[in-house]
Amino acid sequence: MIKELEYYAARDLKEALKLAEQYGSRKRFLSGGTDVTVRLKEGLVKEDVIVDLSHVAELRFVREESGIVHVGACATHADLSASPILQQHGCALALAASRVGGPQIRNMGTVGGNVANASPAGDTIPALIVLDAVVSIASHKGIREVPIIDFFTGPGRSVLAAEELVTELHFPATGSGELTGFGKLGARQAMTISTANVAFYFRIGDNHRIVEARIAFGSVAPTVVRAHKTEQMFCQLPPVLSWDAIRGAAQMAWKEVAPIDDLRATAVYRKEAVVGLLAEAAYEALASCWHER
Amino acid sequence: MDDIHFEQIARVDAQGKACGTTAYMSDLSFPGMLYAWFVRSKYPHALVKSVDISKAMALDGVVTVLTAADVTGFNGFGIVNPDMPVICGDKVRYMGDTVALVAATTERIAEQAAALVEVEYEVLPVVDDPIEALKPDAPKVHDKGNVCLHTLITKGDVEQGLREADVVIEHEYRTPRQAHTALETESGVAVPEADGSLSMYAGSQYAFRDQLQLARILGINPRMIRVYSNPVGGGFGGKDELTIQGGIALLAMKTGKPVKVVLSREESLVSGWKRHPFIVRTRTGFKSDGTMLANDVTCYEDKGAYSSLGGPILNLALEHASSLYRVPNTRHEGWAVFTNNGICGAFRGFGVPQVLFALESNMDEAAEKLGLDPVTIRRKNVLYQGEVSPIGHTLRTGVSMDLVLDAVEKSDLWQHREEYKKTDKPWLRRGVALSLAPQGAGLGVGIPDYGGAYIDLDRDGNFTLRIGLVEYGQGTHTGFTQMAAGLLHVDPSRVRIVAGQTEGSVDAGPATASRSMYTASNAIAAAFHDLGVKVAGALDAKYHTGADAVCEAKDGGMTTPAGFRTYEELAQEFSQESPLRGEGYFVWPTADREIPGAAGLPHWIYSFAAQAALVEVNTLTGETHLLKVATALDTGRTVNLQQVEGQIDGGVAQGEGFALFEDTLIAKGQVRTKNLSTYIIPTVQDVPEHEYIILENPEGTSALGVRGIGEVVMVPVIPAVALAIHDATGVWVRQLPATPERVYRLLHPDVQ
Amino acid sequence: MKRLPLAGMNVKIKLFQDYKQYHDTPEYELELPAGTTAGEIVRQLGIKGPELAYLILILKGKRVYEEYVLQDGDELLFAAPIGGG
Ligand SMILES: Cc1cc2nc3c(=O)[nH]c(=O)nc-3n(C[C@H](O)[C@H](O)[C@H](O)COP(=O)(O)OP(=O)(O)OC[C@H]3O[C@@H](n4cnc5c(N)ncnc54)[C@H](O)[C@@H]3O)c2cc1C
Repeated sequence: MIKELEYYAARDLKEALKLAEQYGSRKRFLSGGTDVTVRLKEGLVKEDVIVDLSHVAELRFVREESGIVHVGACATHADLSASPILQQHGCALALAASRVGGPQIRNMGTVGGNVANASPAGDTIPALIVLDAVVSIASHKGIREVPIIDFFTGPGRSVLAAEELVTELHFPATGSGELTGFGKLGARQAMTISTANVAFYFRIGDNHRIVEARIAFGSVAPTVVRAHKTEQMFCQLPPVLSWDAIRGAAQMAWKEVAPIDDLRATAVYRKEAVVGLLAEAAYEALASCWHER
Repeated sequence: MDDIHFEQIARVDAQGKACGTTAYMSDLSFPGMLYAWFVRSKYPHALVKSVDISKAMALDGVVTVLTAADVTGFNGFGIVNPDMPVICGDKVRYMGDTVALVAATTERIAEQAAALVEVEYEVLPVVDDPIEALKPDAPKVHDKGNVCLHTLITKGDVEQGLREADVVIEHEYRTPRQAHTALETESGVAVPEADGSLSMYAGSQYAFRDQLQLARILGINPRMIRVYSNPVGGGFGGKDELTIQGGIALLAMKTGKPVKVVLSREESLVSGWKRHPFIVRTRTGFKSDGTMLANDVTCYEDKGAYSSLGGPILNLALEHASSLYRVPNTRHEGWAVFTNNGICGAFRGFGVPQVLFALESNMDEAAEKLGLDPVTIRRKNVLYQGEVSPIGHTLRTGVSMDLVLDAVEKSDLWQHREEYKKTDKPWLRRGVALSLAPQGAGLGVGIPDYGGAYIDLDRDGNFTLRIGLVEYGQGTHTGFTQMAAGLLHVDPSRVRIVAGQTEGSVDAGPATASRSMYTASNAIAAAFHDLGVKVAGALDAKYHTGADAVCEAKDGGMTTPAGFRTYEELAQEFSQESPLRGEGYFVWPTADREIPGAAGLPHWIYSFAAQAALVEVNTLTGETHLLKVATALDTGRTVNLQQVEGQIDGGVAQGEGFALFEDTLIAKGQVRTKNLSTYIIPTVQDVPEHEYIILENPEGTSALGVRGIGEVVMVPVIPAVALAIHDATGVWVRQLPATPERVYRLLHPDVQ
Repeated sequence: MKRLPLAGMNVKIKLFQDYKQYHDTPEYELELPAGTTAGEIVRQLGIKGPELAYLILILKGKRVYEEYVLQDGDELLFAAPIGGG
């Protein structure tokens, strides 16, 4: 049963911040509502005021300025998937967004909601992590910037204070010599919460080797996690397209994730599957610049 | 009647459904209507010590709260045994059991009141495994014990046959608790009328049986109950049995007000009917040339808490446990066993998918061991008309096992399977496999299986076809319209249908068991014939043209002894006060005797399909994608090709769900997959490409040659998917659904 | 208008499922006076309670009700609608 709520639709950011200040922890933001409405129905929303951000047009954008990609919190997954800017300068994020839910969910759900929701299974999160994104957080007091890796404090928990909201995410635009990608494992092809997901960023040096790697896994720990040891393994790979070698490097991921058993899968299977998921996605990406010997 | 032309029209209900204007029973509202809430059990197995409704009654807006003592008639329902209480008085047996019923002015108040009903329980141990439940010291779900039905059918000497076999394949198979997930959940409105009667508006598969079950519950004459059950927003067997009707009927009679309920998806998944999970133990013996010698099958059917159709489902499974293959020695044994695992009932396929998954898997394994190909081994064993079935009856009607097998062998998918199996990704493997199935149609021996129809010539010269059989999405009403229009020689737009209501339509039996099109073909043909007799009679009465004159349909009218008359002319002359009515009745042919010890067996008419499936398995994750399915189906005669293909598309998706995704997980009696984010059904992204091969071998006992096809189209695809996984990877799948983790673990048995 | 036979008529009764318990044999013939209704047979057999509520009477594929006046040569089926699929 959905309880009775007060509902405010903010017209602009200023009004949203004012409402946030006024209602503090009594309020819950709603952006696309694809998470909030489900929680409401399940009786899991303790707040009794809804502040709707979906009309705040100034928070819905994807743009690139002086080598930095800015993504507004209210940009939808459909916006992200179709964005030529992201396809060029942040491919992993576009790919991740294109794998969220189905068309209806992508039309409503936003990247800000995905991040603020702080689910370990949120699909855009690993992509944002490997892109080294920074979260811009605003309140009536001003703006602060938090690297996304420091944003999450546990499943469903983040550093956001009651009067704060996410305004945008920004990250350095990727360019030539940089590969990013995303892989997702779910119970079916669409409309599925990730059993595990992975995003990666590889910078290819002049010697064709990977000189910098960032890899993040979702749904395999209380928050999305970076896999530093696995990243090192990829940096040691010879620049040759070898399935066995790539798979071997990915194998390290087994040790870096700490999943649990749940309805979707067992912990052991998740560990096994993330290895494959990474190997597969990395192989496909590296095939664009490496060749078999 | 080969000369009858079926015009390939679009679905007669397409526009209303596509535009959202079709009113389902759950869309109806009535003045002064109240809302019902079913107070469900807190435990999967418990004694009910007391029910205190005082707090709930005191809530503003609550009109009444009923407990078991308020059931005016017999407190039980069930198509075969009425062992499911409408309101539990002394015991609950699953999480969906009803302990009280609330009616209130709003749905919200009704829900709040439900939370205020105080029930004192004495918790009992849960029994959640059918094999455990058979043990003498297992907790008893019903006083009489946990065996709902035990059936044993034998032929020849199975042990001798297995001894003589060159290869014996012995395995245990497990199948899922599939949910129907009809778009429209269990819902309806009960309306008390001024004369003390009741009108029930609730989508269901058989209004005329609902009427009797409701009469039994209310303790009133069935004719004081009118049931309207058409159209239905999806059934698949889940609305064959009563669902919410008993509860809202009691509330409406008590309050004197219309009472409505629409179950939430969560409540539907917890309380609603499901497909019975089976454990199938098999030993199948073959000679080295692939000839089957013996098949020993033991099925354990997880019945859940109440009987419903679990007995007939077990028996249909046993009828099909050796398919229609030539097996001289068989032993088919089955146990339908009560547990606290929800409730199970009718579901498209009715036990056949469960057993054929096992048999067809054994078939391919034997072929592999013997170095035969899957087509050869099956062709060697398929039965023909006139031969004796594995359960001992002679097959008198058409048997198309060989024909569908030949057709699927010639499919593009099977012919070019090696090309289809190519993939350039090192971690992907593709496989192709095939399977075939008969599916007994109709209700079987010993159960009157009948159907009637009226064709009314209305005042304006158009027609109303009155028939009980409902449209729940199958496309049958389009087929009925075309059959009537074809016989009458009129455009299909001139025929309208009144169906699924106890007043205004005619009892034609349940819309189940692949029987609608076949039954209707004969009932409509009989009604058409009778209309000709009526026209002749009317003409004779007026013009003395002779009582035995023959009237034949032609070009929008009839040739009569008084010359050609258009239907408009006939209507003008004879249908102004009341329509000229053709009445037709049909009784299904059945076997002349029952298989000893197996109520309802054998069936007399079968449907046939063969399907080949192409899957792609990701060996890194176990994910399996069904890419393409070729279906060879014998329709007898195709009335509407689009509807046949629609049935194939839907059947394949539902079979795919069974094979790869769907299972209602229940732990200690508690449902864990309570909504469609955890109960996984295929999306449009998951369903395969289709290749359709339609055969038309007219069924001789249908006036128009048609066979039912609604169930069989989902059956062979299930083993075909499991066997294609084997073809792709070398592992045998013995438990469905083949989820990514399950497949991964088969591929990597070392993973703990 | 069909003329009713003046003398008795022969009717065949077929009992299915649980209704078999109401007679020694599941099939039998009756000689009845003209004008006998189906309901009178139901009462003769003593079918009561929930079983009465769930009873259907079928004549050549047609549902008939208790007030139906039996005709010579009728074959009346007593059954419950227990089939499914
Ligand atoms: C059927 C279905 C399928 C789904 N599939 C996926 C999937 O495949 N992958 C996936 O990752 N997710 C999935 N989701 C979850 C959800 O759609 C996503 O997390 C989505 O991005 C949430 O965005 P939203 O705008 O709808 O958030 P909302 O529901 O509006 O909000 C989510 C949370 O974030 C807060 N919030 C929203 N915006 C802000 C902001 N700007 N600042 C601060 N807090 C804010 C809200 O208060 C709330 O707590 C699915 C959901 C459904 C219902």
